[in-house]
Amino acid sequence: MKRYIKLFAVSAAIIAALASCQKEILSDESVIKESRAEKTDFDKWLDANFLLPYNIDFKYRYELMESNLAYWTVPADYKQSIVYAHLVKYLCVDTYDEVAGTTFTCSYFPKLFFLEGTFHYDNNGSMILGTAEGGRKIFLGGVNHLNYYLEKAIEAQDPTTLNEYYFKTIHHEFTHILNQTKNFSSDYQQVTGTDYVLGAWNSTHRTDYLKYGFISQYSQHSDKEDFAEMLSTYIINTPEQWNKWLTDAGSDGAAKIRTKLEFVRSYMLDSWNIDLEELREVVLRRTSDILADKVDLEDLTI
Amino acid sequence: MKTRYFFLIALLAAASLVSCQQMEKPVFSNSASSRMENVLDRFQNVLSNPKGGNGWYMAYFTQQDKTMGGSIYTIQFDKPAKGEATIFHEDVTPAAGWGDSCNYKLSRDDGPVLSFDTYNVAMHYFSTSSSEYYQSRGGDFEFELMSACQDSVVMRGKRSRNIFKMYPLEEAPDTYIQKVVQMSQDMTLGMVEAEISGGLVVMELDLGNRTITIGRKGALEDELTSIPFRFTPTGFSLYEPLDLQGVVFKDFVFDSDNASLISNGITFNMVVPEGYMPYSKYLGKYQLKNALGTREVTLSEVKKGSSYKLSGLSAKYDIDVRYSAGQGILLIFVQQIGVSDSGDSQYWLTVSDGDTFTWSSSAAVCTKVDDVEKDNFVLTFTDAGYYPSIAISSFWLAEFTGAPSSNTYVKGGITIPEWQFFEKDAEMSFPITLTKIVE
Repeated sequence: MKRYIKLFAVSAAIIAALASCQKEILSDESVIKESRAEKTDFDKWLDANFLLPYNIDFKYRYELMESNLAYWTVPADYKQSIVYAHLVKYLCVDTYDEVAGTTFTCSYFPKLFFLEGTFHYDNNGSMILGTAEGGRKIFLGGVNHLNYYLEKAIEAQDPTTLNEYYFKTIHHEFTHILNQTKNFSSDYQQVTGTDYVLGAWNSTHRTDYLKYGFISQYSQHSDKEDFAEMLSTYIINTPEQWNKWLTDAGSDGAAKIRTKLEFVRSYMLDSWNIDLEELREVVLRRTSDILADKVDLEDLTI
Repeated sequence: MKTRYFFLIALLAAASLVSCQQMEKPVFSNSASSRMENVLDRFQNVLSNPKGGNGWYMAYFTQQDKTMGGSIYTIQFDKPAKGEATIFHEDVTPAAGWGDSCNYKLSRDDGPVLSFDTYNVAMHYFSTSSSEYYQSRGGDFEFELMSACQDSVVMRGKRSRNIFKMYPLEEAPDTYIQKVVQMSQDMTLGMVEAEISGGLVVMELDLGNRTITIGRKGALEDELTSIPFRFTPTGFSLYEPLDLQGVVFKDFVFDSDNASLISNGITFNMVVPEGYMPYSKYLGKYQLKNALGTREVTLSEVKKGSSYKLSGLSAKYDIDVRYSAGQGILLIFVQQIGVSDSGDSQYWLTVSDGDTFTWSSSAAVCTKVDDVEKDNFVLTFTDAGYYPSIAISSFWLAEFTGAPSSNTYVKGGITIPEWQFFEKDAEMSFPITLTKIVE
């Protein structure tokens, strides 16, 4: 009996093996097609400045799958996308290169930028300037208003609004990406723990946020947003402006903001070996270069 | 011995089972990917080579319910190698510094899709959101391609699911657009009627929202049919054909000499309702009178044949006034008139019955004229009857801390004098009259 069972098992295995040996001929034609249109000069510039050195895909043309269908959005303007790409490179990518080294930027800077023409408007009067997703992607809105705010900033030699709408967003979202890679201390949320209000952050009743120990109105959303707001607000503003806010915050509010800043400073140094003061110095220097018109934001020379 | 046969039969059965591989004959000669590429190549070829070589015009209907009516784009896919198109719209003109072209691509999605994927002021106008229009104006800039040939391209908007059709232009784009714009300005008909299959049919034209409402004379409101339209060089064309008592209507030709519309051999003649006055007769200065006082105000053109601005009542705000082309009267709907200096409050012109008020945007007051023949005619405001819950007898200025609701209403109306009527009251009660000043 055992003999037959063995014979059966071996025969079945041979039949199964033979039956599996079917050859399939694969087509040598890829199903992934290149774009029908030729690459523009901007596409080539992006390849040379984002894709090849950093493996960053900078998408300025609208793609439904990259967008957020909860919002009504439009594509980014081609010319203003060029300006935005230069600003992202000069004020953010090159800044982190200078402060933390190219390896850091290559490793941690988001790998996908997606631009849209408008901000994301909610029905409660608030709007989303940008978002970070999964530590890899940053969405940036409002590109079609960029030239307007850039001209105003150069004219007034004041980057406040430009920073608020555009570059703070990038630093803010990049902070999320760093946090998603290495989380910050849970003690941070204890400083102003009972005052986070999530979606009610833009309520008119919470405009005196400084006194509650928040550096911006949006900081009141949650500890994660607060942390990103602290870092991004700190590095894009002058020491004078920062100190003015501390004065306005009163002793209680200022103490909380100072405590939270120390958490941010330690986190950046311990987790990423980045000196917060040096980072701010470089950001401010580069911003003043933009306001002094020292950088050609439309040059597509490779 | 029996066992040996049993195993042999079992083995043969197993072998026969694995041999039962079905060789399916492929339905298509090439892969799905390859077939889609061929379709996109064919669409690209059609788009770049319209009959006549002048490009295409697109009948564009925005919003799912199409309540804004339709308009016209001209599109030339004139740089296929660069993936660029040149686009114009009958109403939207780019300001200085903004180009009239943008990139487009043909891509694979749920099917072949035409997407205008860099910004163009005209193409993306109806899709652009803002704090005022957080859901934009319901426009599309991505279209699922349903069919394409040299005579027409049929597409479906990805957002609105409306049908968009493109037809080849028989003349230069700017010439075509000029003709369409001219027609939209020339046609001032409000209400027309025609004899169809032995019955009288009445059609009211809402020229501002580009919609017709049609039905047999005396029909109840829910028996009427509303269909949006777009202007053409010779008249207007409906979004979809309308079957009325066996007669199908789609394109209407405007006969300006006889003030009539002709479609499918049927002539619709203009109806002049009682108290009707043409749009242009309302333009000018008036004495506004009511219990609070008298003030000179001006009614000026915003959109010819459709709307005005009433200025002079307050230094802080103007009031939007609509023209009902069908009835030849003025309408003032509930509307936002401004925001506080801090931006925290919204100020609204609402209507009241003297006791309760409503912020419903469908509530309105209309005008009644004393004598259409007089130059110094007198208009009297009265309830338009669009909001039956209250019998409107006054305007009421209300302050809200956000979009109007019982939660956002600030009790007591507007108390800031410069936002009040005659700088002294939030309420202006009927009778309110406007007497035309003859200059």
